[in-house]
Order: sequence, then structure tokens, then C-alpha cells
Amino acid sequence: MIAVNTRSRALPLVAGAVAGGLVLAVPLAANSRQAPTGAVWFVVALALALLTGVAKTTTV
Amino acid sequence: MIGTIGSLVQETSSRLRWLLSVCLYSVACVGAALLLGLALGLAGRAQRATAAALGLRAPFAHAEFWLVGLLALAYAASDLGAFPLPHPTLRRQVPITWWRRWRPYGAALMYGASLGLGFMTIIPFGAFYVVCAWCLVGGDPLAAAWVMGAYGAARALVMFPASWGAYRHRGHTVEWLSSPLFDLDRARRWLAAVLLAVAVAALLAGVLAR
Repeated sequence: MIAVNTRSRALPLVAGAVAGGLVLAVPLAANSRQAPTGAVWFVVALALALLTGVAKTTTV
Repeated sequence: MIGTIGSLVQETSSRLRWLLSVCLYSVACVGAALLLGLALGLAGRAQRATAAALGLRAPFAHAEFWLVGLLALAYAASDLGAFPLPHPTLRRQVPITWWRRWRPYGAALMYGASLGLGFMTIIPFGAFYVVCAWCLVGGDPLAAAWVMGAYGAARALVMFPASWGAYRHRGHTVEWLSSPLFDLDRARRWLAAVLLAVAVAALLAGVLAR
């Protein structure tokens, strides 16, 4: 029962994440000619690092 | 985290001591994170230089994006409960003895330096390892330092409102720490969704890039 509830909560997140990833892919692809340190990649990594830091401090 | 480094929170009994403690914690936290990013970026650069010197090439174009994308996908699935993946750390927690021995300022510095490195405590989010991987495969020490520095800054700056909140809710700390803001499963799900978006974007970028 708990697993079913977790999945039902996770599904919209997964769908949103895939849609977000599709939107993000175009500028990232345009930015991927050399190393993954181009401007768009940098912003994505920076956002991921910020979110991870906030989540880590508030929860664990 | 707020609960486990309550030492910084407890200093709110004196505003000046609290402010100094949290500032020292923040400086150490950001500094350690910057150094970690720099080290990862330098390691990535050295790996690229070594591969170039040996004449080694990636088996296919844009291997870096595939690597980051697949790692992000694997950790997103793991965080959503599909399968377990290792979350390597050096220690499981910061020692309370630091607080007893060097309180408040020395302990704040030590906690900041330790927590800024990330892998000195439990890491429940795969996103941390994906960020490390990005720093490594990018091979750009400066960019890596900025990205890891952002991780350290986020960890440090959250301490200001969080510890102040703990002070304001000191009469009912347990209820406050039970609020959705501190819900680990909720945070893990949201971070997994962000990670999944990064994975989809990275893999597609690897395909689309010319």
C-alpha cells in the first residue's frame, strides 16, 4: 500500500522531469561542442549543486 | 542536519556568538567546497592531459555527456526506490566531541570545513555524486570550483534562517523539525526528479550535439 502511494506521488514528478529534460536538451546540445563546461551546462550543474546543498542541510 | 549540528543553533542564546559561529561555519564550508571542486577539476584536467599524451580517445563522441547522463539516470532511479546504489562517504557524521572541545568558534570552523566537503557525512542524494562527476569530466578546475562552491554556499547560507527558525521554535522544536521542509523522502523525490531532467537532457544533448 505504501509502495503504491509512493509511486502515485512519484509519477507526476517523473513525467515533469522528462518534459523538463526534453526542453533543456536543446540548449545543452547547442552548448556541447567541446567539454561539458559551456555556459548552459555550467548553469545546470550550478543549480543541481545548489539544490543538493539546500536539501542536504535541511534534511540530514 | 539542522538537528544534528544543533550546536550552531544553540548559540542563538547570544546573538553575537550565534552570528560569529554561523559566519565562521559558512566561510569554512564554502572554502572546503571550493577546494573540493578545484581538486576534482584538476584531477579531470590531469586525466585529459594523460589521455592526450598517451593518444587515447573516447570510444565515441561526447562521451562526457553520456557518462554524466547515465550516472544521473541511475542515481535518479535509485533515489526513487528502483534499486540501491552505493553512496560512498568517508565518515557517517561530524563528531560531537569537536563541539565539546572547541565550542563555539573552533567547532563551527571544523563543522563547516567537514560539511563543506560533502562526503564526510551521510549523503542520501545521488545528485551529489553527479555534481562530482560533472566537475571531474569537465576538466575545468575553475568551473568545478564554482559549482562545488555553490554546493558549499547553499549548505552554509541555509544555516542562517534554519538556526534562527530553530531558535524561534525552541519551545516546540520536534514539531518544527517534523514540518515538510525537513522531510527527507520528499526532498529525495524532488531532487530525483531534477536529476532525471538532467539525465534526459544530458543523454539527448549527447545525441543531438554535432
